[in-house]
Amino acid sequence: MRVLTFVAVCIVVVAALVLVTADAQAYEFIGDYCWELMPTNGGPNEAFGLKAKLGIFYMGYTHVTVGGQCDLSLGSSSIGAWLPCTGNLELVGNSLTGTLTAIVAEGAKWQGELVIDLGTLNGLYNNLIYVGADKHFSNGVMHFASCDTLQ
Amino acid sequence: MSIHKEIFMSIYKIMAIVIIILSAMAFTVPDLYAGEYLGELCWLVSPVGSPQTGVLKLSIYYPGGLHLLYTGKMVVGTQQVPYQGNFELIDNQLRGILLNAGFTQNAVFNQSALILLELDTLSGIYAGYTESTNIQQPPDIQYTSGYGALTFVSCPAGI
Repeated sequence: MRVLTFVAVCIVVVAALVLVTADAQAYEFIGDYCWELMPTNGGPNEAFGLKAKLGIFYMGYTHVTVGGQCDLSLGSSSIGAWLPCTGNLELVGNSLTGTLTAIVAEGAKWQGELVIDLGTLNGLYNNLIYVGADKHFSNGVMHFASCDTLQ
Repeated sequence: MSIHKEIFMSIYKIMAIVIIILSAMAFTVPDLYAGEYLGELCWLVSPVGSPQTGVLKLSIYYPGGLHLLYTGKMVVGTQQVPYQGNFELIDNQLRGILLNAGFTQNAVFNQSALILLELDTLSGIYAGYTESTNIQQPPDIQYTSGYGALTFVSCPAGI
C-alpha cells in the first residue's frame, strides 16, 4: 500500500506541474526569420523598402506577434540604420497577413501591410511612409532571405 | 504467483507508465513555451520645450531569441495612455518603439515614438510623432513631432 500511495502522490505532483507550466507560459518562440521588402511601384523619391529581421512568436489560435529590427535602406531611401520594428500577423487561409511599423526618426515612420504566402514565405506589401506632413505610398514584393546574408 | 500479487503488479506497471508519460510531458512543455515576464520598469519623460513631465511604465517580457516585448502606459498628470512595442539590442543600445491610438472628446490620434537607451544607465532619448484629426473636420489631419529625455527611475507608488 505504501508503494501505491507513493505512486499516487507522484502522479498528482507531476500532473499539477504539467498543468501549471502549460497555463503560465502561453506562447512559443518560432525563431528569427528575415525578408527583403523591395518596392516595385512608387515615385522616384517615394518608394521605401526595407530589410527585416523578425522574431516570430506564435501566440495561439491564429495569432502571431513579430518584434525585430528593420533597416530602411532599400528603394529610394538613404536611411541606413537598424531600428526596432513591431507588428502582428494573422493566419488567413494559406497566408499570414498583418502589419509592421518602424519609427525612423523624429517626425517620420514606415507603416506597412504584409501578406506572406505560407508555402514559400515570400509575399507582397503596401506601405505608407510619413515624413512630417508628407505621405508617400508604395508597394512591392517580400523576398524570404537568409538572416546570415542580410547585413 | 498468487492472483492478488498479479493484480498488484499490473496496477504497479500501469502507474509506472503513467508517471513516465506525465514526466515526459512536464519536461517537453517548457521547451515549447519559452516566454517569461521580467517585471516593470519606469522612466521619467522630459519633453524638450515643455515643462510638463510624464512617467512611462512598461511591463517587459522576454519572448525568446534576442528580443524583448512590452506593454505599458504613459502617465501625464491624471491622463493615462496605453502603449505597446518591442526593444532590440542594436549597436550597444536598447532601441525601442512605442505605439498607441486613442481619442479625446474632439479628436482621434495615432502616436508613435522611437526610444534609444544606453545599456549602462538605461536612460536615453526619444523622438515622437503624432497624427491627429478633429472629429468635426475629419479630412484635416494634423502632424506634430517632438523629442526629449528618458531617465530611468524606480516606479513611483500609485501609478
